[in-house]
Amino acid sequence: MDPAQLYLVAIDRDPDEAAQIARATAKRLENKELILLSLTKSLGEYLTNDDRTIRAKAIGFYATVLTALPPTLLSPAQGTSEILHPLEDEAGLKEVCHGLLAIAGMSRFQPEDAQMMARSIFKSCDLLKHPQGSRYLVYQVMDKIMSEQREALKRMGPDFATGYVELITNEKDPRNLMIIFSNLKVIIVEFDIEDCEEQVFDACFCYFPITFKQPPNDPYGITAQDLKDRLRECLQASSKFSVFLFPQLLEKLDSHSANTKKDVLQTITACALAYEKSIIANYWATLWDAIKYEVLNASDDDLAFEALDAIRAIAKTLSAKLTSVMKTSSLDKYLKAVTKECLTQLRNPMAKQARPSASILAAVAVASPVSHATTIQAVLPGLSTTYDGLEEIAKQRSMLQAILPLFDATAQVYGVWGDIEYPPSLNNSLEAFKDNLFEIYSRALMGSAKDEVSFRLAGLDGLTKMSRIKNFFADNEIGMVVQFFDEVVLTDEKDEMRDSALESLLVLSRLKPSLIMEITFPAFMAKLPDREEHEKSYDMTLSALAQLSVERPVFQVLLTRIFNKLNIVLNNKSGPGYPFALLSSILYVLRRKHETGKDISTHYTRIVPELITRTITPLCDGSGGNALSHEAVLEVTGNIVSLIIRSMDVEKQTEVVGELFKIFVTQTESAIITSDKELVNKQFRPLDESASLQQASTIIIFASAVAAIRREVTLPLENLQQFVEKLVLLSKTPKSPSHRRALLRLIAVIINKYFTTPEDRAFLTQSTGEMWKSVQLADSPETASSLPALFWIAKALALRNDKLADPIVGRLLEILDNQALGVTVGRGFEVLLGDDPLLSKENFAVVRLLSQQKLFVFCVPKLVEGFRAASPAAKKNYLHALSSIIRNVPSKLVLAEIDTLLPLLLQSLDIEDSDIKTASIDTLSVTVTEATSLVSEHISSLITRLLAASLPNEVNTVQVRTAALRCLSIFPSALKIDVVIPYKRQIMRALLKPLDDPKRSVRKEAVDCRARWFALGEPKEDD
Amino acid sequence: MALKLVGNFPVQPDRVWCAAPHPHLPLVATASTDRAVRIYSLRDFSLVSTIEGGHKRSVRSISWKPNAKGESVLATGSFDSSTGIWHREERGTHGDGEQSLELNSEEREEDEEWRFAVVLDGHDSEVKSVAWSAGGSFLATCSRDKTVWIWEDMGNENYETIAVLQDHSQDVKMVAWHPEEELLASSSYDDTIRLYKEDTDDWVCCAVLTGHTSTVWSISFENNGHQSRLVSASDDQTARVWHRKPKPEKKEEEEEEEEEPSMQPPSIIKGTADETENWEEQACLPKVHTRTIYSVDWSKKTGLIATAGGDGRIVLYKEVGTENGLPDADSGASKEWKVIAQVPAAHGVYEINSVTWCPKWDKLGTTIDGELLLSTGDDGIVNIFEFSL
Amino acid sequence: MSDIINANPTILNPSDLPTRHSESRKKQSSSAHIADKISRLPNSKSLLYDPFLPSPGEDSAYSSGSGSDQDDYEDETAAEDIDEQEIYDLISTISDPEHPLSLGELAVINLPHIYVTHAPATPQNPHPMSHVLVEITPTINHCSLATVIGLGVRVRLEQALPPRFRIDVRIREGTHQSTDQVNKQLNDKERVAAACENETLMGVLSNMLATCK
Repeated sequence: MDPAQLYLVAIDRDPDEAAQIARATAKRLENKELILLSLTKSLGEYLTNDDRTIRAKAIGFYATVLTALPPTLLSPAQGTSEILHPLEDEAGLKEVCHGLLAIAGMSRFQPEDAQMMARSIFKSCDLLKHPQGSRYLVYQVMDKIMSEQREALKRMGPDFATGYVELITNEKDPRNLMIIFSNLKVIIVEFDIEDCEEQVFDACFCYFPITFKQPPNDPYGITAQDLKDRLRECLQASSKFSVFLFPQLLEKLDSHSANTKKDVLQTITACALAYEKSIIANYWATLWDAIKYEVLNASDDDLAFEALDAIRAIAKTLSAKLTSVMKTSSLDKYLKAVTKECLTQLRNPMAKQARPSASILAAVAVASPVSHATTIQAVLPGLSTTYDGLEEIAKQRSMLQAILPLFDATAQVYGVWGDIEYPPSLNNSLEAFKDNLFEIYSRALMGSAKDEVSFRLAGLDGLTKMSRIKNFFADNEIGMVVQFFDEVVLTDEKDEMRDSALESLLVLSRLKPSLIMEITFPAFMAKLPDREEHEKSYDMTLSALAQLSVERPVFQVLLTRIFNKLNIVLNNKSGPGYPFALLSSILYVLRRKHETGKDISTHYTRIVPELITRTITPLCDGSGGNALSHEAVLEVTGNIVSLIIRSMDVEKQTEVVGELFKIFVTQTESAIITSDKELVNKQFRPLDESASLQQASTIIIFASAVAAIRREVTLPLENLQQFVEKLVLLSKTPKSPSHRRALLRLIAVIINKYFTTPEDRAFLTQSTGEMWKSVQLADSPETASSLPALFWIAKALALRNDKLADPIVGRLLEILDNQALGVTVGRGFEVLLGDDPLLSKENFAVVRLLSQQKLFVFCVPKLVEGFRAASPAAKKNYLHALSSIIRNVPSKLVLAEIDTLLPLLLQSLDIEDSDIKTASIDTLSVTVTEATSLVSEHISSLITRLLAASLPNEVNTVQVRTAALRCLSIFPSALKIDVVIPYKRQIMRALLKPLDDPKRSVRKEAVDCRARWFALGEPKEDD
Repeated sequence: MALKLVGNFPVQPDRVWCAAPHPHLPLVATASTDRAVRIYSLRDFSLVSTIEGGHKRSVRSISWKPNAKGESVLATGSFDSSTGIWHREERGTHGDGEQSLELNSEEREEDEEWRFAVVLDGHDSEVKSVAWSAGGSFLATCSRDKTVWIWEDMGNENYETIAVLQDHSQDVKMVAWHPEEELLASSSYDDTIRLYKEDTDDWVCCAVLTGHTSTVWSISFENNGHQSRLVSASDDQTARVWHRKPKPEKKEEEEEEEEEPSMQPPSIIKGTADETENWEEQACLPKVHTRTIYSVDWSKKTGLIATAGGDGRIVLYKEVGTENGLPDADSGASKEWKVIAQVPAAHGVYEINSVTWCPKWDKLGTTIDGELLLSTGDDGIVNIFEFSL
Repeated sequence: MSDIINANPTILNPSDLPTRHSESRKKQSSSAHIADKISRLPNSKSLLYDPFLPSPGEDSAYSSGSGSDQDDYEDETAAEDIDEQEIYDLISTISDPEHPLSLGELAVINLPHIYVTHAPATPQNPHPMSHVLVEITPTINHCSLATVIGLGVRVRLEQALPPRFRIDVRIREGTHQSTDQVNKQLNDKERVAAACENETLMGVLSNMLATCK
């Protein structure tokens, strides 16, 4: 059987085998075992067979063979005739195309072959009859020959264009259209379509606007936007289309589908930019008249935006080759029409069209320097005379706001301070109006009544926007603006004004840093009082200073100034408040710098030694110390030191921790102390039993510093266990709560990071055992002095999922029912499960994943069990423990155990302790939304208790009452209607009392809660 | 001389509009915003039964049918613009054979069957007040649709509309019947009071009483035969007494002239031709209320007048002879009204919607002398006061 | 005579509307909030909280000179009575039935036209009543809507104020042709109650009240 027959048989059974046969035949052709002629002859009778499928398969075989041949082997002339003549025959179009593609790919594919192929396709292909897949192949053939033999096809003159256009008529498939549009573009740009322009235009425009919706699992991934862009490229390819395009586009503009309108506007913009100036010169009038309505009475912002884009595009094209304002130019005529319309609208700044008119002016102003100059010169005089004519503040404000977009446009055309691009040669025509504008906007900000907030904000915005424009305001003028803003920040009592002024100062500080340094800083520093006055004048200034100093290296200046002020304040013997605020502002800046990734360890030398020396030396020279040794201030100092040390590397940390141990532990001279070294060395004994409260409290700084040390750094002590034992002993007789906590935190940090060896563990088991014995003997919280230590040790161990923690926690849970100790132990669980700011991952503590959850799951069942078995008096301690736990644990943990915990939560609402009540209510609020079915079961007891908790008494603090009302107001939306409806009337009546609560914030919650229940609709009567 | 709180019915969930004592049984029916009518026992102030499901909106007014034989009949007017008629048999009772509904508690449960016999539809908007005529044969209803309807009870639960009176120009607030004659009074949002009589088998407005300067919320007849006067309470914070003047030209046969006819100022303009009544304002009660007076009731027994209203205050007035015996100029009577008792915050801070005089019963269910005063408030409470000299 | 009819409603800018001073300090981004964070001395409830204190309540150690008002720990005792600003805050955010603006922005509700009076508590009347009068300035196109707006204000106040309040809502003299007629209707307790049971009207009202914050 000859290969043709074999192929025909195989094709149905197994297409790969058939392809294999065809390739083998090509091989034989290649090495001349077979000549093409004999192949075509053997195919002959199949090619003319009256059964369509046979004919198709035969052509298929022939085409597969041709594609398998190397392109150089055959000359197209030989093969094309056999392939082409079956074109009219509907059968086998696909196979024919494969053949044609093979031929077009041959290297000796001649221009005439391309022309012949194109002509026969145009002549014989009636694509409508064929499925979309075959049509796709035909378009691919055309695409192939156009890319191979474009010049030849061009020589066919308009016939090619008309032929192609007829070929593709009402093609709908998106994949096919993508090819067609790109080919059409080539035809429009490169081919001679002189006398068939309209026909080609119509072939494109008939698809406008594209309303194609991409099918969900579309294999080809062609979106409507892809089609729109391709079509648009065709339409904008030749400006000769303008005569047909613009009228038809404008007609479609009044369609009420926003999509169509948007497409029309985007096409106008594209064509306005693409077509030559001369074309646009004849059409701008008709275009402007139609487009302006889309902005002036825009109902939809996106459409207004597209329309503005089109208006700008027209101005841009008309500005081509213009370097200065030319009265006779089409641009000038266009801008005259635009500015005239906008000026009339702006006559009444309050009217609806005022703001859109301003945005039109800004759109044309930003198109080009010439357009900017023409617009400004045409509009500014009119606007300022109208402004002067306005008396009413509201009108003046709207006018000021209308002019603002022009400043942004100017900034866009002429650049902003610090821009490196070369500004346009045409000088900035806004200059002529600078003084007038400066005066108007300054008066609005500084000259008007204090409560005219929105008017003053307009003034502030104007000054800020003008100050940004490069080479517009002189430095002294910007200096004045900065002074205005400083005054507002420092003195205005309206928050909104202060915030906007500070925002503007931040903007200007990036553009003109020197001005801020020279003007704002001294002004703010001058505002800082030298001593603590009764009403807090310094907090606003410090907050502004802190926010300004994050951005810039000005932080160094801030530090020097704040330290000087701190000296003065301390000498004036002020309370802790002011020093606390001064140091807090430094901490705030350090935190912001740290958050934004800046390395703050470089500030160590400037801050840490001075701060520690200033805190410690006064405690040694018999002067009785100063505000720096107040616990709250020590805590801030500790945080500053800890934050800086945390960002140091191992080597630097080793050096610093060494110095710290010299001061606080071994009492040897340290480099950190910058003055009175011997005095400190001799007098400073913070860890002595007999140390003063102030000296002892400085351990807060030491603990914070050590907490920030990396695990890789070894502490400069031989026997850590002995040191920890000493600390535990000290913690039993603390000088103050914060002193005790600093000691305990230090112990926990050391154990968590450095107690790893078996000896360490043995030491721990033994010492906690002793502690436990002393606790069991204790009869009051004071005598059970090692309880807190047990909690912190348990926390250090639990954090790293160390099994040693379990026995300790187990015992702590047991003594909850101990009459005397129960309450304190209950509260201790807050330490155990709460997050500690210093003992944390950021400070390199060993914090295993899910450690909190493991501890929670360990405690809850024991807690619930203990609660049930506990004596009525002791039950309170379990609820204390529970509320401490749920207050510090993510709610999803609590929800996992909610079924067992809910009864406890409900009962904790009856406990006369506001902390417990608030904690339980907050948890219940989460439960209401998360575990609706469970809550629905207990709804009646929950409602009665929440209503009780919403009434003022000494336990139901404001916090409790607000939490209760807020929880109640979740019910209507969170629970099913038939669960809540029966309670509506009862709640509406009960809420009458909280409406009369003495505190306004509680009343507010009651009003919102009642409104939610009222909106629940009428309870259904069963009539 | 004080008005003492002696008790109250159990709290209702919502505002109580009014309360009506049963004509001959120790029962009181109350109407509430929660669409239910509740019946309480006057012997121990407990809840006897609750009638629900009759109306789709608040029940505004209730009225017992006087001298209904062998059963209790109750009319309920509601904001759903319909009036309901409810029946309940009074079975023969233990021992004394006296028709008494009062059964001891176990039997109380099964006699729960208030039957929703008839719905009287006709009004286009909220029904504001319902009242049976003294003889029980007519039922008057009024509504915000400015009309007063009179229905006749044709027996075995069918009623016929015998009059639709459209004289008021605004929302009609209350209707009340003369204690003996077939004379109907209505008060309205249009600040006027109107009287109606049957004139040759066709009800017609026979008098318009003007004087109030704002909505007249409530009216109540004195119980003094032909000479019965009318008291009205209004949003203008005044309560006024009106009395019937004899017609100068037409002698009323049975009417004997007590006071000598003196020159009366021209009575109401002779708008309507067949004007047969001539009423005039006789007195204005001393001004005590500081906000709208929602309710006034003229005691059928003691002749005392009680008012209550938005200022949460209950006031009692008594007509006393003037010390100096001088005949009062315009009314000819030698009497004047005095305030004899006040309860400032009778319902705490809540407004009071109605006051009604009510007979006193002892625990065993027999009437005893003395009289109680019921007050209903926005707090859902019905207070019971007793006036003691 | 003020401008007879509030012809075209000048739309006020929200930032110009009267607010209570302390609330504005709470906004997260405002520098005032940062100032609070910087300058507020921690007391026992925050930074230095030690659960093991016998009664972790009193913070004597930290009372410094500056008695700053601690926003979060409102001093329990000072009772704040309901004043005109609170009434304004309750009703200024009601939305106009027609356009998406609030009665505050449309100047239909103005702080100076709200009057609150409290009767003094006396031994024989321990539950004194309070009275609030709200005068409404409807805009021109509101002539048919004045009643609905008045009703909206009244229903909101009846819902949000304790029962001791007697509420009067009135259209400002001369700002509306049928002022008295509307005022009478607005203050008829029974008609307001009936209106609240009318589903369609309540639908309109609940949309107006939905925007109350």
